[in-house]
Amino acid sequence: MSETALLDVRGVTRTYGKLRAVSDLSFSLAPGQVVGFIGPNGAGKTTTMRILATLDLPDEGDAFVDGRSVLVEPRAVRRRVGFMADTFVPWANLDVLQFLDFVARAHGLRGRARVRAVRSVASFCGLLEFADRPASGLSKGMGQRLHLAKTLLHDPSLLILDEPTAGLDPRARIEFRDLVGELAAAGKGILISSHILTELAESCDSILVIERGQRVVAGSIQEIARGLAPHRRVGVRVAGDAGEALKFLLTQPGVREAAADGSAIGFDFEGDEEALAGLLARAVGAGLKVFEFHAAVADLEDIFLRTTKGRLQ
Amino acid sequence: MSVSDAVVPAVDDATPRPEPGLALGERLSDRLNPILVREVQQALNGRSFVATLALALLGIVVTALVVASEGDLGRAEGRDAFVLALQVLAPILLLVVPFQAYLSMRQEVAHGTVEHLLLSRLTSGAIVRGKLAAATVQALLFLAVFAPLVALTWLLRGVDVPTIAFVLGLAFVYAFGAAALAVAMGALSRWAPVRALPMLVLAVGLCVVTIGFVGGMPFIVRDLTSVLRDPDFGLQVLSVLVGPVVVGSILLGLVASNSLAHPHENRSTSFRVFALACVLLGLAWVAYVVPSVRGLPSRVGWSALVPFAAAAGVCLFPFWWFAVTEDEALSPRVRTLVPRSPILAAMEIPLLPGGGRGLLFTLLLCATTLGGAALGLVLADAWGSAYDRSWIVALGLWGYVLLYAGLGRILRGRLPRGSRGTVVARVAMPLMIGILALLPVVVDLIVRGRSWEWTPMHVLSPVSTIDHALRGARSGRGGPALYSGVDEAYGWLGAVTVLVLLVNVPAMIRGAVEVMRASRIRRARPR
Repeated sequence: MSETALLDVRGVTRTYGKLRAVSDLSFSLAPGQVVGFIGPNGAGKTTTMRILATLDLPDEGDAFVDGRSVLVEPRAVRRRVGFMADTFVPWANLDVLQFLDFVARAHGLRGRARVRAVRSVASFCGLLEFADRPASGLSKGMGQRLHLAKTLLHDPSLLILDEPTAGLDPRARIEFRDLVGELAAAGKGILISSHILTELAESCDSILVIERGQRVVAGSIQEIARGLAPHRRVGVRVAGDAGEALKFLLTQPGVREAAADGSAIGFDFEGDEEALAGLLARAVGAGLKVFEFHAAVADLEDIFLRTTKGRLQ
Repeated sequence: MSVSDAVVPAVDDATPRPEPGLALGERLSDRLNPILVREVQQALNGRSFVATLALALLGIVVTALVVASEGDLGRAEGRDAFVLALQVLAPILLLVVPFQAYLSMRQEVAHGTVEHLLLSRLTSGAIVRGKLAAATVQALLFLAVFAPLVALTWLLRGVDVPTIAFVLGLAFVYAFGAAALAVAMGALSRWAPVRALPMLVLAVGLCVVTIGFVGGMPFIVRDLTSVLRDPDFGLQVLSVLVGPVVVGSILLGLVASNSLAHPHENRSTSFRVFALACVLLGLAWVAYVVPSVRGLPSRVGWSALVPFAAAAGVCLFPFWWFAVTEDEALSPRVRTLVPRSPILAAMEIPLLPGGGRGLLFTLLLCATTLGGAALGLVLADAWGSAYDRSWIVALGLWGYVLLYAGLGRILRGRLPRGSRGTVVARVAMPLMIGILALLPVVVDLIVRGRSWEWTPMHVLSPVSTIDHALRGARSGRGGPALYSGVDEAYGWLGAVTVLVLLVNVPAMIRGAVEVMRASRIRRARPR
């Protein structure tokens, strides 16, 4: 196990009859790191998350949270993990604070520690002003905040969030993303799955793509994008004669397949950020009136579409 | 780093305020089961509890008015009023409160909130205990609501304090049993394909108990209470009335708790311990209660231990049936629960999950039951008083328990590992027993032309074999051929059973070795 790993998954395999839901999956996660867990429907994300939350057992392999095995030390793992499942039905006839109070009691918090934890978590999740509202009558966005608050009550070091923003409106998603950012800044490791890839791209340090239970690719979005596409598409707009600019660009190293369309020129560029900055400097130095210069980076959706085949199992 | 320290630096106000002291109720509630606290809060916030309470109060008012309308109030009216009050109270205790407990548990299971709870420090057992405690609190509350009416009936001199205590106590015990049934059925609703079945069992069970209680209330108040005052029968009758409900409630609690637990957790040991405890308690009850029945010679009373031992073999079928059809290997989670001490680990072998260990458990059950009965007779100096026929039946039945358990273990061993294999084995085993028991009769009827004479083939059927042994014992009485039928039938039964057990010896050894290895691994790990 890596010295700094908060979560260390080693060769986890889970089968249901003939279906291999998760197959020899390994990855790790450090404190304060946010890892996006991506895959098509049925890829094995929820199964993996349930195993990490000790709700299921791997047939082979093991996973360690803070050095504790999910196989043989489930209670110790549960104290360290906050699992936010993809479904959440609050208990009826409880208001928000009563709901959190019950969960705190269930986690063994007693006396003032319980009251303090409930209030601070409710405050952090922006629930204090809804304290007297029925927990089952909250909006979807507030319900997810309540779900997150419930997950945080026992102060876990690892958060496993299974599609936490599904069904939320854009504002609620942004607010939720900010909460995740704050939690990561506080040193909590976060494994988060979502089908809203743009959102994951903004909140995750790295991603893990799985398909048919197997790891397809893992790493930071930039690293993966670079690995997938060594060329980057660059767009330039110039004031004046685009033909001159096109001629200049075609003489530059790393520039390929340049074409002009009115004042806009598009080309493929092979090289790193420094080489690209050098090209821009030379263009300006050559007297080209550049008023727009942008390099398109492969986004998470590109990565997802390129790395997965959409095979169902 | 705690959430309050790290994540929530910007709580509403910057200046720290002194923390308010916790109310006494808050502090006391920390000592209670969290589920109980939550259920009480839910009941107080919800409508159904308030509606039930209003209905109960209305029932009290109506009952009081009916009593008052009698005009000349006397002793008889007082007793009638007590019966009427209990007839109003019984449906609330035996129908409404348990059904609410059922709905609460069913919702917990259907909405998947049980999984959320199991991720906390609550165990499945704590969840079930919390639900039962909540139902008990509700039942006590309704009893308290009826207290003024009950006091009125006492003031009318219709009933005395012991009668009130007995009837209310009995109602409370049965209400607890009904709640246990409701919670168990709610927990069993987890499996969607058979969700309607627990509901049906509960509806029928609660209706029968309620109708029986309401209909039998005059008898309970008038006759049963006087029987209980009889020094020769009181304890026996009370134990018969209360004992099965208490034992059944514990069993239902275990069913509920184990059905909520994950399949990889230990869902077997509690049932095995329960079965052994039932045998010991049953033997103690028979030994203590039956000989004290008035007019029964003590030695004859003690001999009831043997029929009890025979009946136990049949009644404990669900326990050994489930035990021998379990997956062979211990799950990783259960392995971590094996005691470090080799002596304790060895003692726990028959109690841990696994088919081979299940067969060891069946052998332990057999030895405890028959050995306990024999020991009881010896200690009471009543050995000769046990009817020979009872022993023949008891030995025959336990012989078949071991035979069928051994065959069931072999069957499970041939099926694939995992829950699917276990389910197939659990369905197939009773079918196999039925076929083995019927086969000789069918052969007699079709092949042998209605010849019912016992042949070794009949050893497959307990009915034929035990009947043959009993006939042999009867015909041989007093003559040199004493027990010839017993010798013949039980000789074959013994041989077949020993053969089946011998085939199972490797599985039993593997089961024991696995436990000892798990214990050794635990000892090697730092605490």
